[in-house]
Amino acid sequence: MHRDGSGLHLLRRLEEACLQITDGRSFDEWHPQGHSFLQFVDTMATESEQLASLLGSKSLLAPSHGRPVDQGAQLLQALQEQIRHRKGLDVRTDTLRKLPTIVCLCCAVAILSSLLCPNSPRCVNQFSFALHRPLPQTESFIQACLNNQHGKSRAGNPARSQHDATVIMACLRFQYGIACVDQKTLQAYVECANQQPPRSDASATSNAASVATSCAAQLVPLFATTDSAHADASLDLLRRLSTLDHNGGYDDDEQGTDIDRADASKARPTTGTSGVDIGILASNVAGAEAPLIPVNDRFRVAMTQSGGDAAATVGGAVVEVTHHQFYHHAAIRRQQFTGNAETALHRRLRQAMARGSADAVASILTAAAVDNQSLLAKQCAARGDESLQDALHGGVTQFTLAQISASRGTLSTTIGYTSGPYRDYFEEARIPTASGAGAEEWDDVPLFEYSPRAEIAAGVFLHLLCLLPPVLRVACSEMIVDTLQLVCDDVCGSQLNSSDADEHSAFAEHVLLRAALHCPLAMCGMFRALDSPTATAHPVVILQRLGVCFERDAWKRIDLGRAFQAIAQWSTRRPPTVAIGLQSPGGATVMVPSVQGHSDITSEDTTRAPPEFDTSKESKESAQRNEDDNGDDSKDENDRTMMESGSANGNEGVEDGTNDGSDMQGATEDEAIATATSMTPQWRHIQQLREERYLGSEGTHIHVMVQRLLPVASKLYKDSAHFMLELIQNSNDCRYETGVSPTLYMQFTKEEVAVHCNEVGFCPQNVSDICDITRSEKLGMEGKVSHPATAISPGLDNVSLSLLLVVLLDIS
Amino acid sequence: MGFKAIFNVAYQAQVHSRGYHFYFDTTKHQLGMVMPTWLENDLRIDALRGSIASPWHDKHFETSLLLKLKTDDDSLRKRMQLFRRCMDMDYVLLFLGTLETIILDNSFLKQRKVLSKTTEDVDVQQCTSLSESDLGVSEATGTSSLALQSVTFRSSLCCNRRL
Repeated sequence: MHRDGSGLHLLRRLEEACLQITDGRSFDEWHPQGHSFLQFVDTMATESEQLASLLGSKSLLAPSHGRPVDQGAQLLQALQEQIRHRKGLDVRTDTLRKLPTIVCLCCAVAILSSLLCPNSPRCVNQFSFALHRPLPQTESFIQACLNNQHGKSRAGNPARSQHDATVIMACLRFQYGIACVDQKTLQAYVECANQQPPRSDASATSNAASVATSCAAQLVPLFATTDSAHADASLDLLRRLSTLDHNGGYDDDEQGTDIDRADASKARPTTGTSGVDIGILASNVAGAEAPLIPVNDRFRVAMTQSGGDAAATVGGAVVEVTHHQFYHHAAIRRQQFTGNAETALHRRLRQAMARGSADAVASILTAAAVDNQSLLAKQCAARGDESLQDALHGGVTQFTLAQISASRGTLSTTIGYTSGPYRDYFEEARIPTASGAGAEEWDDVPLFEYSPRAEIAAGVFLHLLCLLPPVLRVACSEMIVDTLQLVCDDVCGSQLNSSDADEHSAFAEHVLLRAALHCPLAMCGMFRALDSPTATAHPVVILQRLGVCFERDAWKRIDLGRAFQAIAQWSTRRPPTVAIGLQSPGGATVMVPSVQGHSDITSEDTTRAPPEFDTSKESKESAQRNEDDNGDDSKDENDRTMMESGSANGNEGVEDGTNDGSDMQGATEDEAIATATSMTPQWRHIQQLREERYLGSEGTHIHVMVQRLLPVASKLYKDSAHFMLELIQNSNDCRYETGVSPTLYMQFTKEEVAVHCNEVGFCPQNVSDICDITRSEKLGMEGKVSHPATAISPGLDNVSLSLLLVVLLDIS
Repeated sequence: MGFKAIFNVAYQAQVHSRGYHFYFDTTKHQLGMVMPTWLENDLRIDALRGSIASPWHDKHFETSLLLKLKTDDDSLRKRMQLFRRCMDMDYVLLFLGTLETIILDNSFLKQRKVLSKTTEDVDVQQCTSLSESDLGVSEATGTSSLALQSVTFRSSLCCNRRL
């Protein structure tokens, strides 16, 4: 009874906690049974065994019980949505303060879900999300949880070991997130792994060693990417881990040939996973330009060890395909596993790379990933091993994550160094094509001329972003941002240095667009990267150019809401130089730093319309914002809201649109009154005109006239260049000071026409006239003071002009 | 009504004159063409004013209009056509009474036309100033009482290609 009640009770309380969060109340105030939340989570961890046994029983897992297997995951999903929503809503206020608590809750829910469904890859995903925001409390919590579980493992309860391992793994993955800020954790885990008693209960030893090894291996890539000192340390660690794996994961007498190890790995999937971890580690170390050959050996060992394991093969395949340094070696190893079918893939890859087409590489990689997955899924199905299938999915996720770091290493080294060393390496790598037919096929293909430019690496990297599940994209945000910074730096650098600047910058734009397409966080990275002093163009300008360069459809695919959230997150970390408002679809206006301050991005609701990156339109709005840079965002927001409502009502009747607009407009005007720096007579006049048009009979009259006259007008002025005649004519009819030579200066840019006239200027009547549609001409004539837009004075000029107009229209 | 013809090609029109700064925007609704919206400190129009070419840069242009042109799907081609037609409209000066000079400065087509209906002396002065700034070939066409001067320049390749 106690067992049943305990588990369900905990679960219910967790649900309650989630509801609490979704209700928006502070989690700190929640004290279940007089305990704090952390205490609660701690309690739950202690009682997790009971919970696991309860929830793991078949009766509870059955759908008939009304409680789905992934209940915990669903809870977390809801929570995640809530968090995301909040981030968009008020990212600068108290959400960030609350976030640690939320993450802690996520951790708890994820543990719960891992208990509910031990092998579900979703648990891993949820944890990956949770580790997005690490905090010290959770570390201690996990430490306690670990100790707890280790103790239970040592107690030697084989039935629980599966659950224990899952919990530990989940905790470790969370720890992995914490380790992003603390390298000492890594050392702690290595020591922990070494301290495992070699001769105790076999399953416990294997389990703990594997866990510790994989943990350490996961931690290492974080420090092993670019820094050579870290690379050395990682190499050392790699060696120790290999030894550890042999001692812990395998019996001593199994340190024989590779094939023996592969067999052992087949026998024990858990240790196989650690073998893959080593493989990832090796690849990462190699990516960090450590001495290549010893690492290659290690890598080969790891690859071989993991040969029998499905997840390992997927991971190895992904790593090897994407990892250029290991291109040949990995291919050789793969041949032993999956045969000649792979070599065709590799040949295609080589050709694509030789062409320098990042697109082709990416598409081939996609195909390869899909192939691998289906192939391995088939293998799993043939074996009838469901847990292995789960492991496969988890492995894919995990390895995609590793892949990111791997490609990051590749990218950084690729950018950092010229082609020389790598070409040497490729030359060298071509020689030991040990096994048969595949190697000869490769000789037909010219050796891949690896260019120092970042094109292919960046393309592959961005492609990898595509493969990532969204949760992991969040988890890897820092890495992604850093990598894109590298890309952008390189691109900007080449823009400055290369003689072929256009080509480079065109590619830069291409890369950045791809980044934006694939990952909103990539846009964030792009912003950050291009905001550096070395950058030649402001990110907003780049974006605008992108918007011009690429077809609209491409922009539709960007999840702008998330992008802006990401940007918002990023921008909270540094104070804006010039404030530029960005409205996220959630309704929040976030601030983005701007260097030049003459541009802006307008985010419209992505479900309704693609964003328009229009330089001219935005420049105006940004100017407004620069004026009101005392932090008044609500005015702009109202403006936008009005714009959106206006566009939504655009197809309806005029009156409807007007009513909507007037409501919004009142608010806008109030804001404007409150914030306008100069309430000049001119400004008041304009406001008065606006009021007239929204209210009263005058407004109705104008609206009716617009409706009636617009079709006529559009037919009348079929010639698009007709506006020129109007402008010239109007300025001809203006009043000029004596002694001034009446001059009309017209500027044409790509998107604008500017007309400058040295007339005396508008009088209020002119302004009223230009805002009207019916009485303009005649009144302008009577008003004696003409202006370029409204008045047409009678006389020979106009007659001639009208004749000319007719002629022109006939001609065209 | 005539002024509204600009909304065949523009989605927004800004007016800057004697303390007035406002714009009409038809993107959300057609009513935008009669609905002025105040506009504070637009940097773009200042930039454009600043880029007025040298002989006329010192003139005081009290009134400025800024039209933000619509973009269609094949906008580039259409834009080129429109601009060519616009550049060909310089001769209307012949029919006008008040205006003395029209300058059509097209940075997109990299072409500038100067039309002046002035005395011979002024023509000479303008020619001098233009040739000094290396604008290129200048050609003067005279009708009975009006002198029509057209100066076309094409930017050399060393110019910024992203103009």
